[in-house]
Amino acid sequence: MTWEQFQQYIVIGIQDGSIYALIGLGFTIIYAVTNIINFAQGEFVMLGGMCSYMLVDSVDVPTLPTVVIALLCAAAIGALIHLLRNRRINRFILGLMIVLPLASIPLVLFLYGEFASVEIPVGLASFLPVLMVGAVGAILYLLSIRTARRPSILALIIITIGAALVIRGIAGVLWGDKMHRTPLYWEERTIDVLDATVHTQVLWILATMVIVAILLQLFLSRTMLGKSLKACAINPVGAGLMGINPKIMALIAFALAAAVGGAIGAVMTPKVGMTYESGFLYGLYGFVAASLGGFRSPIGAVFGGFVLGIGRALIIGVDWWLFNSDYKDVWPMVILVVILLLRSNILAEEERLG
Amino acid sequence: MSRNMLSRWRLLLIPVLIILMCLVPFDWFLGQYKYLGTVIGLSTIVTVGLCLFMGYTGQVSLGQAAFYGIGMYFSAVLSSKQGLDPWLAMLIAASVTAAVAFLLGIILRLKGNYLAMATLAVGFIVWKIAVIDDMGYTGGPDGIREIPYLAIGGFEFDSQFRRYYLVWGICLAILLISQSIVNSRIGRALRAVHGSEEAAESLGIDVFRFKLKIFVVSAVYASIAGSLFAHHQLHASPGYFEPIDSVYLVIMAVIGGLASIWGAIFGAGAVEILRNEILIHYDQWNMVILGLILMLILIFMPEGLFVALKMGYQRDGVLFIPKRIWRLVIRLYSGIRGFQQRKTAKSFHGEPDR
Repeated sequence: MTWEQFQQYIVIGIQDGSIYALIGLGFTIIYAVTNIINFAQGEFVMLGGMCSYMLVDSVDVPTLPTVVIALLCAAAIGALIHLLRNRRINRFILGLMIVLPLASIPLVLFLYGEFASVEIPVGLASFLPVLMVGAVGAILYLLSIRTARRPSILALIIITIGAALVIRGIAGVLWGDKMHRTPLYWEERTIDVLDATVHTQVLWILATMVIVAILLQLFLSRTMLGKSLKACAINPVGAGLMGINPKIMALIAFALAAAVGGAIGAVMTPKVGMTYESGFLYGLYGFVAASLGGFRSPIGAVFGGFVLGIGRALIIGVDWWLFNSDYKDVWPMVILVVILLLRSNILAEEERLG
Repeated sequence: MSRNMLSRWRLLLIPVLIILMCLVPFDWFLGQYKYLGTVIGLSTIVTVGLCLFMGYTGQVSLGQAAFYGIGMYFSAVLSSKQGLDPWLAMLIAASVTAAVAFLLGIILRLKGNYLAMATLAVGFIVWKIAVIDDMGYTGGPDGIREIPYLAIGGFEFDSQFRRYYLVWGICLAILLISQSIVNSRIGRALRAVHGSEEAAESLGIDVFRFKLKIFVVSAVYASIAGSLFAHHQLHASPGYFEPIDSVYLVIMAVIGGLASIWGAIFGAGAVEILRNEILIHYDQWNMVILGLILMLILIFMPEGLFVALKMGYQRDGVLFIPKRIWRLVIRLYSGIRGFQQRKTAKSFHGEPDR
């Protein structure tokens, strides 16, 4: 591997690393607050990409999705009414729960072909998916995990797997099994950095990752809501005694994680493309990133994502013995199993306490 | 147990079911479904292993298809390229799978979420290695053909008709073996592990060893099914044990009731009929429907479909179906296992179950 090639592989590594970092971030948000590993995290990424594709290319849309989305909205509103009747909720949360289902209304409008003739700017097409996927995350939590009666860990695992299947299946029905791409954000395709040729979209991916990580960090450390979220992650019972509702925090965690996944999905689609089956592998990689960073720390997940992305790119570059591009997907999984085993004592302890 | 055997429903139902099952491959009955029947038998074998591992022991495996694949490939390679006797190849395949499962058993130190992810990763690794085919054994994505049929003496299982009986004979043997495992000391130990590992440990049960044992047993079941499939389809390829197939196996186990040996037939039947008959060309709809079924069962009846139906019936009669009809349906089903309530009542009056 020459120096130029090395730089090129590092660029690929940074691109993949940013993607994995944000997916891992989603895992850690949900896991820290609820102790649930969300097997549908990768599907949020896929959904983000697909939604942005749909917004850019909103001609020739089937009417079925409209019905599905309308049903989901109705269900969310039903759940909301149920909550209102039974529990006292503070006003802000109430607002949030109304806003999230409403956020999916633009989706319904687009699907009716209302805006079919209007050119949607690419910026909007990548921002709206964040809201939409966030809403999907919240709805998923309300409809499945919240509704389950005294779920065991096994049940929660299988519920999120079922959710992943449903989301993947619906995406397959809606958008077919072709690979979809959205247009690049900048006209110019590549720029030169040192000796490497950098695709401009890679800069967008990296920027998204940095901005989302910083915003999240600010949210968690500076706002009251973020602090309650952190409190809930550290000690749910204690947080409950201080007047924080862990269930609402779980809802926010799901919406947040889904929104983060949707954001990265929308930004990466112009570069790597998206099929309805992409979510599975991205989810696994995000989990590897989270496990490299220790599962509970968002910063750790970002770090793990970059280690994974660059390491994987270098495996392709080395091309020696079993370290070649064929095995690029195998090594991360081996590393995942090894990390889990090395940490098994700590993890068992955590699981017992949590 | 022996008294339960004498329950009149069981006396009536079992012969009727057996006769019906025997008649399926005849052309004047359900002849066109004998291929489907064979596939259901194969899936049942894997599902029973999964029930033992997940339902009774309380662990989780999302990589069961990997063992199916290992069995399939060893049988295929040994009997076609090395020219071994198919039965010997099958035996070797099962031993190799047992050894692999034994070595992989180290991941059973993990629990819950982490075990799920680790098994998912293992399933992915095995599948990917079969696709990559570095050494030139597995034939890459195309797989292996020219596999011989199984034969006893001069009697070759070369028709669909004969293979149906072969598969169901082996399936029945495995169901009976599993039934006796569940009703033995091992089965009670496994259920103790499910209840609480600490409590089981304090009663002198070597938790890790029991988990390892049952993991190996379930892997061998999957391997046998894989070998049978190779000699049935005369084709082995990675397409038959993709990572998602492990999820379908979990769905079969959940539909049949996780802690129910005979329910495995119903679970496997439901999923295979849906996949191979009703929605044969609509893979995405399959995902949606099966995912929804999975979620609904675990959200509303985490204890399993049939247990929940029984309990719900006892409480208030479910789904507005008049109690009398409902009672008939449930009796028909539970006739196979003996009516749960009567069983507890009996063992309460008489001596304890052991």
